Amino acid sequence: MDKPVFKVQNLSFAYPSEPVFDGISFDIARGKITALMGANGSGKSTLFKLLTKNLKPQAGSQITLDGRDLSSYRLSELAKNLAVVWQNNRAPQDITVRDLVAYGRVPHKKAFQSMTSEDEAAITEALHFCDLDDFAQRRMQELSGGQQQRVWIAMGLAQQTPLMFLDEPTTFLDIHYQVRVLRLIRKLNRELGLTVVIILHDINQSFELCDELIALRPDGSLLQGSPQSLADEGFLREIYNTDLRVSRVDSQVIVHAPL
Amino acid sequence: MRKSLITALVFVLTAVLLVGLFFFAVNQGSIQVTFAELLRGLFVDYDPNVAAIYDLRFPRILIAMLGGAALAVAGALFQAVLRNPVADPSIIGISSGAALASVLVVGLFPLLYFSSPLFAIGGGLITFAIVYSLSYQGGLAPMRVILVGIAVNAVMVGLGEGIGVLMSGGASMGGGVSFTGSLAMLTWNDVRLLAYYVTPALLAAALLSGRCNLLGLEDDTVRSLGVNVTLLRVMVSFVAVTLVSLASAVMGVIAFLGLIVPHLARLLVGSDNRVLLPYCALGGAFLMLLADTAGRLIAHPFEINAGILMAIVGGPLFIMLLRSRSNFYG
Repeated sequence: MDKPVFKVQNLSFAYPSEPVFDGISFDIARGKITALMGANGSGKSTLFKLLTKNLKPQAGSQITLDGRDLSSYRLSELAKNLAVVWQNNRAPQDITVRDLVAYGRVPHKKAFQSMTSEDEAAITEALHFCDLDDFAQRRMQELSGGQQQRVWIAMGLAQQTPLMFLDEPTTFLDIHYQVRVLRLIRKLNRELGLTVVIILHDINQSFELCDELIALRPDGSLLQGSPQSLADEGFLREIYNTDLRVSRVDSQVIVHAPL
Repeated sequence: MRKSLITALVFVLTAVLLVGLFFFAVNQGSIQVTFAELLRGLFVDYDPNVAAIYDLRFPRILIAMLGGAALAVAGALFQAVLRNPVADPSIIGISSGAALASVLVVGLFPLLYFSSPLFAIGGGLITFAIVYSLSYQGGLAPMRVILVGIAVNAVMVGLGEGIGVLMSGGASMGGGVSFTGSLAMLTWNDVRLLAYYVTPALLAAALLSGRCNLLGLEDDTVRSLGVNVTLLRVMVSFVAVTLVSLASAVMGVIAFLGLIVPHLARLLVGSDNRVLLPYCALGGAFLMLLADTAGRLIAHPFEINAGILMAIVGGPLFIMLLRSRSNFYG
């Protein structure tokens, strides 16, 4: 068994108005897809930002990435280890897909360095992997939401990191594109061996896609386990404070909400 | 590849127009020379006509070009850093803050004339800091920036005019305070002053242009690419404020140039700052020289300030931009 990518110990964090975490500990397994789950306000976005160094934990907390203290990583160094696909994105309307994906190479370059053939290869590869070969010279504004989302993932992929974080990558998409994006994420994990940490708003998609779930209770404590071990009505009530029903069809977990 | 050809054509065409306008502007006025006489007078023999043109017309032409380039590039930088397609440095008060500081310094300490651009930059930076901090509420809503900027601008103009009255010993027409930019009366000293400071600032803008493109993305995204986005913003803002302040210190306030040129430039060459900023420099030089030359000709023998012409043309365009739903940053 590989050592975990992230080791989180005694993590505490509070916003000025309210505490969020008080000494939680968990690991994130290497080479797996891990979902962060929880009701609105449970702190899953906060946790996402703590792990990507967009928020600073309180003193005494320890987050290590590959055995090294996360706070000791410089931003540019972190960007070579960890790519983030954010939920909200914007791009200049007339930028081409290829030019946008090329920003994924920024962490690997000094400020005024120009692109090498190695960079170009990484970009082409990322485009190809995300099924965007035909879109490379198209402008971002001509693309549908689902296609744009694949571009943002390709940009993260061009960073060539062993780790990718995704914040609700399917939220604004219709079901066709949701499935495509989820399949792409699984392919990243299975074929390229990327460790994926993801927030999904759909419980069933979390169960379907992920190897590992980290679920936050409203009080800021957490439960961790495989989807099979957590597919349980008691667990769901604890996390979402709602009565949900769990069925199994061909060993596939289906969560639904009787009205 | 077709696109880069069009871009190259647009550059060449604008450059040709600029050169043409330059020679046209040189020859407008009571003294006229032929092109051959001009070259001869400049480089070969002394010619009193050419010498007069050299002393009287060259400074204002060169200043129009340098100042116009500075204003247009600064406008594009402000629009990038504020993510606001209608951010114009004169509307949000940076120009008048800078002009105020430079007028104050030159009025009170005339010996500091050659360092007055530094004070203008100081005035511009303070004004920008005020506008930025007053309009920041968990983000920079474009309209809030504009509204706060208009208020700050009004204060700066008021202070400038008030001080102008005091300095000119109570005469109601404010003395040295030029809040509507004019290029009459400028000398070679002003050209040098502007060139020394504007050239390095334009180079800095060119160096930053690639990084500037990152500002078209969300801050979170830029950060996760390993770039310190706050530092980047500070640097881009500093260069933008510097350019506007220098131009305003020498020419006075020229409204809307920093809005019109980048807007047209985006339509012509796209929004990639590595192309946009150089084109803005070229286009800004052209438009400013056009405004100044037109101002000299329209009501000859009277002169209409370039700043007034820009305001008359720029105002309607600003309203058009406000009304259009288009957003340059998707």
